[in-house]
Amino acid sequence: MRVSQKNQNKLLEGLKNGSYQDFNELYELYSDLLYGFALSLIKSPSGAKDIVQETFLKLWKNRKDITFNTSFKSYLYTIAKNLFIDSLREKIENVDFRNFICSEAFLEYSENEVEKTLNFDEFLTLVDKAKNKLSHRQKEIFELSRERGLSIGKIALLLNISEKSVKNQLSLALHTLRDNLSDHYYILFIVSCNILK
Amino acid sequence: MENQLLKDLIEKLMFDKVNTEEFACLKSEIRNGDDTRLDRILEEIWEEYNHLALPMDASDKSEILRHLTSHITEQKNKPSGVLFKQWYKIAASILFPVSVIACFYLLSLTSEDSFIVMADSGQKTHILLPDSTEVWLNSESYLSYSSKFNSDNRKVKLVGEGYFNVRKKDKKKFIVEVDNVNVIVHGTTFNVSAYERDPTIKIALESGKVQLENKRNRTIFAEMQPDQLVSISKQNMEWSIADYDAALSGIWHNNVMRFANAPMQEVYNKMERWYGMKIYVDNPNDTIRYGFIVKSESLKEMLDLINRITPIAYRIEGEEVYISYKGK
Repeated sequence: MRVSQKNQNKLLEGLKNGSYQDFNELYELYSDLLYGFALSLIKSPSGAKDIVQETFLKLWKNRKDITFNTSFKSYLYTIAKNLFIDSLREKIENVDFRNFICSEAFLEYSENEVEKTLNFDEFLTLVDKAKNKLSHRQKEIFELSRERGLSIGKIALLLNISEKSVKNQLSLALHTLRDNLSDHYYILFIVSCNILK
Repeated sequence: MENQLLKDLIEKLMFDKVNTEEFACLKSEIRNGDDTRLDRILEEIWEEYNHLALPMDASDKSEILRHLTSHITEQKNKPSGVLFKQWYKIAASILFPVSVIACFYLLSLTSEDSFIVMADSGQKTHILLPDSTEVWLNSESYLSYSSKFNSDNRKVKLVGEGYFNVRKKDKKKFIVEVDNVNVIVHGTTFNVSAYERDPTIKIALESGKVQLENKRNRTIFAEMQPDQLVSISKQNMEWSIADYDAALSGIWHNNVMRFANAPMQEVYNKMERWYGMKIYVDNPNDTIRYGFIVKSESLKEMLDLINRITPIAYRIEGEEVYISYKGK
């Protein structure tokens, strides 16, 4: 990852003149840095890959605007920054993302090192998979409670059923989820906490 | 909130852990803060960020590069300028009626006699054309040519994969039509792979010289030298050229199938055609690569060989094979 300034300027000069080979080399040198940063920020490999692709595409499209008064790394940031900001804003508003982050926080106490490698994409897949085991009604109630944050009273009103049956359905749903997420109990921990509040 | 505090929170989110309260705080700060502030903070973190602890998978890295390449070449090939566009419109308005007439004309010409030779699934066919050109058709491929072949023209149409050994004839070019590409040859040996379900056409030249023509606009877009491989996207006609051991791609016509560091996907695709079977893999993983040669081995022998390289469980049901990779 060490590139001499001289060599870097040569690559930039090449890119500016439309050399695909120099573009390719810059990709080889900087895509991992960009990916690592994006992944740390949004925890989703697919999202991070999108950012890498978008950024390098923009780099190529705007190759004529390249200036040499900053380092290439800084220049790369100016291209990627809107993607970073937009995806961070999107993730921070996402309930699943919050649950994921907070389940990670729970991990600090569980000291379960192996499970630490789970990323946001995998987390979503696991929860979705488990959710598909629920009945239609249970899923509906679960989502209203977890994703929309509605209280049991509100859900009962909305679905025109008694609070007691909302509670029953939720506890059934939790039971099913617990069975299906038993290998990933700490996800369930946060899922349950969220519901029972 | 001070910028330093927001920066600390984002850094905690990125490289450490945040608890529920911190997350709530972060959320409200990001929601209420403007882009300029976020930009300044992220830029600081970016400038300090220097480690490569989270590299991309090599396969992801090359897949993104492939996407980029295709976008970039697409741009390159795109015509630009108002003048051209207007010209294009005028040309289209003239061309339309002409092409309708031409279609009728062509239909009446070709509907009389056209020969079709085909190779069934798991089969290979060897054809000798009237001009002494030899063609080997790989499994699930067909070749058609008109009864006027060799008198009016030397044109054939290929769907699937064919290995050609073209007899040289002065003044009469030999043309292989594949999808939207005409491969124009004089006398050479080459392999064309253009299966319907493959998104790309692949042409590997063993000897001699061939030209590639875009059938739509009748322009030669590439000229190939021996031991080169050209890949053309059927969808948008983007193409790329690479050095290649061309004998490798046509080797199947000698009843030999050879893989050199080939990804799993390619191996099973070729085995499907070779044995005329459908192969299903439970847990595909394109980081697994194989190198081996298949001559007269049976399907079972091949699966046992693969099992020795990478443990698999497999079962054969009629014309279907189910494979699952064991453990990690």
